[in-house]
Amino acid sequence: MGRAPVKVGQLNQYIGRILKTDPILSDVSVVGEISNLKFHNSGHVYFSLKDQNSRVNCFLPSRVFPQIKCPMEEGMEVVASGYVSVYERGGYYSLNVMDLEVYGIGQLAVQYEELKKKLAAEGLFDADKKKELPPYPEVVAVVTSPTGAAVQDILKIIKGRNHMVNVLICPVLVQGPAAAQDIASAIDELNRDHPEVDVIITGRGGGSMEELWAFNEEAVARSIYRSKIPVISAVGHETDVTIADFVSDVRAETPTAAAQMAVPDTEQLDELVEYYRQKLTEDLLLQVESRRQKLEAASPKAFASGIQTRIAYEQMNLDQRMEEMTASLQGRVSTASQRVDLLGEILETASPFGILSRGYSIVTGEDGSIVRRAEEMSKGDKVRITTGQGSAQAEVLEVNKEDESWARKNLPSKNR
Amino acid sequence: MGKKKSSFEESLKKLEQAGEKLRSTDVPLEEAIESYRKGLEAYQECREILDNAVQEIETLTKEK
Repeated sequence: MGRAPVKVGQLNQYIGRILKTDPILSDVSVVGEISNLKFHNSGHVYFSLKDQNSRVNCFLPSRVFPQIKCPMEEGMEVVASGYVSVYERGGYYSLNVMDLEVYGIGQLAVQYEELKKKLAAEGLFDADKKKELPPYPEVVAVVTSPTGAAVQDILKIIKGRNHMVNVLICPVLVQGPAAAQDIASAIDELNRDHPEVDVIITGRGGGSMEELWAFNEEAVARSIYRSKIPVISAVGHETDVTIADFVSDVRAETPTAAAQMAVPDTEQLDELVEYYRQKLTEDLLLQVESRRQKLEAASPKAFASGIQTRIAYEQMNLDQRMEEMTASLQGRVSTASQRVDLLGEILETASPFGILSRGYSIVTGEDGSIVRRAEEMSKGDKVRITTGQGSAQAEVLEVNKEDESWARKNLPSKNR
Repeated sequence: MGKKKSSFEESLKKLEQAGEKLRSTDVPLEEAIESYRKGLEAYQECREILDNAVQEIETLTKEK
């Protein structure tokens, strides 16, 4: 025991100096699981790294914090790089973290799938929970980084499309360990303090999986699900699909697309309103016109013209009937006349005058009756002989009642 | 940003409804004219909202 005792502070200072100058401890990377994670108001972050048997205190100073891209969550396996130093007041050492990385890329994918499964089971992605976007929003809130490309894209589109809607920008961190909580708080705050907001766009421009990670965290998913105001998610590029996209009411492939679906084109609204006005006037005129036509149809003039039309029609009808009748009558007359001609000819052939022309004569008595037998006549009777051409007056000289007729005497008998 | 919700949406709806009523076939002429008048009113409202809108871009300041 040759040395004099030292003060506590001196001991700690000494140990601190030793650690600081040690080539290994002054630049070391440690693998472990995050636990006891605390984001202090000062901006410093305190946590422990642990493995199965051991743990070490870690300190992430606020000036380093903004450069950390790695998400920080309880239970996440990380590689923390920095140097070991002594906290003299407390007499303990800790790892001063200068950089933080996720240990193993697969880990994030596994977390993603697990959270997705869990939230899906809870119904956070259910289609019937999705709210409709208001067609004519008056205030659009944008929850994103105030310095990122996303906010510029969104503002550009909104200003170009719509000169009416107001935009409320809610600046948040979109990457790093505190981003998720920041985004979630902003969405909650909008719901609580800004009821005039009609729709929320939250998102960020493209980046690595780690950079987009905040939108895969439970806090963000829950706040989107809680939001009474419809939320459009717009994270990264088309190919990036985050948990936030599943929970949000509408997923936009990019921030630009989100802005397009959030607000209507005012020029189109203008056209729509003008179209309605024009249609209104046309419709009224149509109504009046249809009334006018009805009235006109019922006017005495129309009535008279209706009657005249009817009369003209009836006249035509009548004329036509008349013509038909005439035609049919003429037809019958001509048929009859043909028949008469025919009968005439028949008559002609049967006429006694036809026989007379062949040499026969007819003898008629004084009373004009035809003499068929000699006994009808007496001697001295005046008779008329009619021949085929002309006639003669004659006196009966002799009557032979029994005489055979000339024919019987002169014609050869068949019986002989 | 006040909460004045005599919104464009409502006015546009009124305008649409006036048109629909006006177009229905057996609406009495008086009602048709009334619908027209209401439609024009709604149109004026829409126009006013469209023409007089002033866009505001505001950034929330965070006090944490």
